[in-house]
Amino acid sequence: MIKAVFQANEDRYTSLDVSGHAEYGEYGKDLICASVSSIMFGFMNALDALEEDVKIAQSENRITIVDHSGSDVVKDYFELVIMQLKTIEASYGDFIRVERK
Amino acid sequence: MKYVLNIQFFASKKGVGSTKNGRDSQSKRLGAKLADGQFATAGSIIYRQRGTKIHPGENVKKGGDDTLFCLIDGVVKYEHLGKKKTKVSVYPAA
Repeated sequence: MIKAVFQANEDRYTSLDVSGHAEYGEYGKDLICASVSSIMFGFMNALDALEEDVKIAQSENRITIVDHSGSDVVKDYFELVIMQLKTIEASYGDFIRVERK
Repeated sequence: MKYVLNIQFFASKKGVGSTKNGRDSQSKRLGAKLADGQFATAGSIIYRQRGTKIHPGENVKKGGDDTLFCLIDGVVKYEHLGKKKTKVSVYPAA
């Protein structure tokens, strides 16, 4: 199961840590993994393009993003991405869990 | 673009598919049942084998499944048979 753990303060998300295996299907045919991977890689590239103070760490089956920027655009990106992950969770909750730390 | 998409980034390892192996037959517990120098009673099994890894020697007979068993009470002796072969004999206890 993929775990998406976020931290937030009163008005914005401050970090997102996504890790694990979806185990929805065989390697190469795992649709949930493909969905989450696409969202997260798009998120990383979008943040990278902004060149804001955002820390991005990627290791085997884990992506960790920490926002130090305070930027409104980054805030919007976080909200979009977490909404996307929650949308997947709503239909495939056996394979991904989105929770607050 | 800095991060190249790995669309199976959150999938379990490659090649985790099913395998066609994973079967084995029941082990037959072959091999020596009596060691060199041990006392054997008539009819007791000395060596279980497939084929003649060990050949029958004095007072030893080979069964239908190549099992070696002794014909008399005595002491088990593993001996050379030519250069490369081995035989097992049973000699009456002194």
